[in-house]
Amino acid sequence: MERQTFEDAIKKAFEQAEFEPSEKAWINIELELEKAQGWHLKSSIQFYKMLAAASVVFAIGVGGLGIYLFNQERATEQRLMALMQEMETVQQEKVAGITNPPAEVPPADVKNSVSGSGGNGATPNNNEVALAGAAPQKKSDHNNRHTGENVRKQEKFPATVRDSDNYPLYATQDTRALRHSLEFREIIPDPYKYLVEKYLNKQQETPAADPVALMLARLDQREQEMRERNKQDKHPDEKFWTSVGLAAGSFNTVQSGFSQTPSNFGIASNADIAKREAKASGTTYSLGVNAGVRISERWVLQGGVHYRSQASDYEVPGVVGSPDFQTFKPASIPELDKLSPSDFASSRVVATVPYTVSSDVRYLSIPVQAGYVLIDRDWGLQLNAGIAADLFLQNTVTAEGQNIEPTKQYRGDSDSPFRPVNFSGLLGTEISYRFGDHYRLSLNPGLRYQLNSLYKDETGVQTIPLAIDLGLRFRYIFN
Amino acid sequence: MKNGRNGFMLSEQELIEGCREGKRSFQKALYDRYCRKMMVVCLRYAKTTAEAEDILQEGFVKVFQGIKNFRQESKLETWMTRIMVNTALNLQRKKLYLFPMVDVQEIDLPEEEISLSNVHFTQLLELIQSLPQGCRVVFNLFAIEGYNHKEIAELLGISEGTSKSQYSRARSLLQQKLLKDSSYSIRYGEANV
Repeated sequence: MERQTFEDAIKKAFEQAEFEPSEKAWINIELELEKAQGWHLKSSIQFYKMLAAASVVFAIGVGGLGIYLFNQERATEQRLMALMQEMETVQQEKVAGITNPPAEVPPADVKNSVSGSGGNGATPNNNEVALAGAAPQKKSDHNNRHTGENVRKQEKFPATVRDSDNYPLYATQDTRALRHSLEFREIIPDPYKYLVEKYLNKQQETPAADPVALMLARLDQREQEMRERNKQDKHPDEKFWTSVGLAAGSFNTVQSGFSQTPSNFGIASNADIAKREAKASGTTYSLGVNAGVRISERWVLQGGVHYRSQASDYEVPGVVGSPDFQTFKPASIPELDKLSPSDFASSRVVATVPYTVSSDVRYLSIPVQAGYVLIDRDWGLQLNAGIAADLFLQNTVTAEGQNIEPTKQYRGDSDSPFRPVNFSGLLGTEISYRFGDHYRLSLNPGLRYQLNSLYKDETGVQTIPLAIDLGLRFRYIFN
Repeated sequence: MKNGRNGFMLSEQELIEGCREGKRSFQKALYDRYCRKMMVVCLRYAKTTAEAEDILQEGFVKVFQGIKNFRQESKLETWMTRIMVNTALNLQRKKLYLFPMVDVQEIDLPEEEISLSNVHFTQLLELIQSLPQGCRVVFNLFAIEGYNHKEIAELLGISEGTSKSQYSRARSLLQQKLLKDSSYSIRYGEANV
């Protein structure tokens, strides 16, 4: 009982007890919270960075594979074409042999042809020779004029072919009849296999029929297949389009520096603050409209107008007071750039504990890009490269959670430290899918490298950011 | 709501909702409302005021980060107190690892009755802070937080017997100190706050 009473007394003693913590406790809590928020933001940015990088790698991989397969197919076709040419040459040589047959051993078919050619005693023409062997059924009317022996020989076409090993029958003019003839299939059930074995694998085998005809048949068939496939897959109608899109990503300052100039007294005196701002990295987003035109089968030209924002957070250890010290603004490059030596005499830059500021630079961006279409089907893949002119619009520097006025700088301000126009190099891919006759949705991972510093030369501050972003575009195709 | 003091006009529910949305002004208002009470909790576990502020800061950050998961099954103040105690224990555990608690001989409790009616809580705080590390933690958990020895043993990774002996020692030391100081009256009663 006594113990309980002692504990109750202690508990009661602390029940309403209060103790004021120091002022800095809340400041530290706020800093911790901001750090934690920054970490979450960085994590999500990291995720988007990884996603963008993965998309670029994927696109390059798919593109590479596509080029490899395309080249392989082309090489095979070229090889077949070369074979065909070679065989045509052989054929011409052999036909020349038929038109001038060896006198000592006249071949049976030629002899028959000669005897049934109307008795003019002349050398049979090439076409007749070919048709006699290649399409005997189609030439039945013609054959009817022949003798009974000739008719019998024509009907037994395979035997005829086998008998004429020395002078095989060739299709020169009317190859189509040959290609589709039943006899053709009877002689060689799988002509492609035969060709591959004979000419590509270099196997020695006596041909049962004219290889040139078979080759032509196969090529023609393949050509037709390709034509059909291209008709189905390609979108030659996609000649002109417009699109709306947005993109988000992050930027890192890949190059930053500071040098003293005759006119950057304010910045030079606070180089530490200027460097923090110059080095800051952050997020970027853009939205805008684009238009594109196909200039050849594989090349496209695209352009547009985008509204773009680059925002970064960094810590600043000071403020700049107004001349009457009634208001304070974050110590930033635009504010420091305005200061003169007399301002320093009056100590307008006041050192503080570091606090977080957000700087947001906005542009109107005009990109122009050339694109190479790697895959032009329902699923599309395109590589883009180009340049963008970025027109500076506005910069706002805001102190987070502080009672400090923001600094704003607009296009056209005479004392602006920002370049009115910047140029950036662009590189990206476009993975797209077409749906319907008029629409295509695309994912655009890309890189943007600023070609000149964000700030004017006279500020002495150099900042060159590299941005990685992932865009989504919705394209309308004018047919 | 730039001034956090205006937060006293807000209901607890409004404060919770605002903090859940991550609004800094609401976080500040919540802090302003509870920081003094929570500071006392932290002071009981800390050796110094600076150490207590460290616990307070870490504890409030956890409160703001975890308030989304606060299911309101208990009072906000109780939930926050638990977070402060856990934060303090996490810091104490590191020290307890270096200086582990061991069973100590139980000291006979003095016969006299001790009154806390004229004792200011800051004096009590000083006395508690002067206790050895292990004793202080066990005393706070048992006498003020209301944990039993089994729970304390689990929390601190010690045996139940160690918890009991440490508490007994703490209690005895406190009573001795209270008796020594003539300013404390010799009867149990309410303490001034």
